[in-house]
Amino acid sequence: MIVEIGCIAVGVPAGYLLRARPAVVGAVDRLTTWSIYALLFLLGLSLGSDDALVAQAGDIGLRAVVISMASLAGSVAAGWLLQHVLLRGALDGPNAPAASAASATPGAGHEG
Amino acid sequence: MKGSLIILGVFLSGVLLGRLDIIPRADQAGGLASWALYMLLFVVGMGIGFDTRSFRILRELHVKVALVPLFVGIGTLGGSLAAWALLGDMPLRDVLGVGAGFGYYSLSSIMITKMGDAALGSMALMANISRELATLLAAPLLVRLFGGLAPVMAGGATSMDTSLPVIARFAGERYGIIAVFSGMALTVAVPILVTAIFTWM
Repeated sequence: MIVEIGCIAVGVPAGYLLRARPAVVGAVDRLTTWSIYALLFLLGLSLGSDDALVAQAGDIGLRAVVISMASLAGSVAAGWLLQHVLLRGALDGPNAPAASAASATPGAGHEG
Repeated sequence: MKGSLIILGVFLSGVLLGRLDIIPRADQAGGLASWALYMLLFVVGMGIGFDTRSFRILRELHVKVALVPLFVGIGTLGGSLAAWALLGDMPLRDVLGVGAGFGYYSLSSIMITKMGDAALGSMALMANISRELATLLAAPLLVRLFGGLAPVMAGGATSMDTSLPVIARFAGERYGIIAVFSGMALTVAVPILVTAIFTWM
């Protein structure tokens, strides 16, 4: 897996050096988009041609939603802690209206 | 949102064609996919290198901004642990790997397909697309309930691009700047974390 990280690690300085060349930036943009399309198409292909996987599709989707909604809720909770407990509104900036009066009382609901 | 719908369309047409069984030797695409992934990672790296905004933001805002992506990571880890307990029968590695996409569905699902399997890669695709869509749809509600930082946290890696417009619109310009920084840091973190999880767990 060193190769994967290596590809990115080589790409970053290359991008930094070439950042002022619109032709390079445009090419990289298109290449990124199309390689993502190609790879996700291949992923779909291997999923679709595998009968056992197709049978599990609903189960896979349900698990996906459980993991993503739990991650999202956890992140929002961590952000609330960061902002209101650790930093006490510091991210709102010096001119912010009195420490986020808009935010609800703690525990008023745990949506999302 | 348009981008993720196109992605979903490309993925689903792959599923459909695989289903119809009209592409010969579809199962041998793995070798090609490896090279495409290496190229993708390289151009993703270049894209990160093009963008020098994050350094400027760190200088202009307080260093405390760096805590935002860190807490997205902590919260996602906590949420993934809860999901793991709730689902009960999935390896912790797989749940953490899917969660560690932070909404960056293209790269995480492709890497997880390679390091895990197609089922898990597809789960990562759906999980991370739904994280992005939920952020886009719930941003106003999140701001009202939990303050301006909430949609930045929810958006994860997508807060630098796809979720940025709704964040700036509903949480304000300042949170838009924080969102760009946090999203960039998490975008860099996704391939590193996914690789680490699948290598060492």
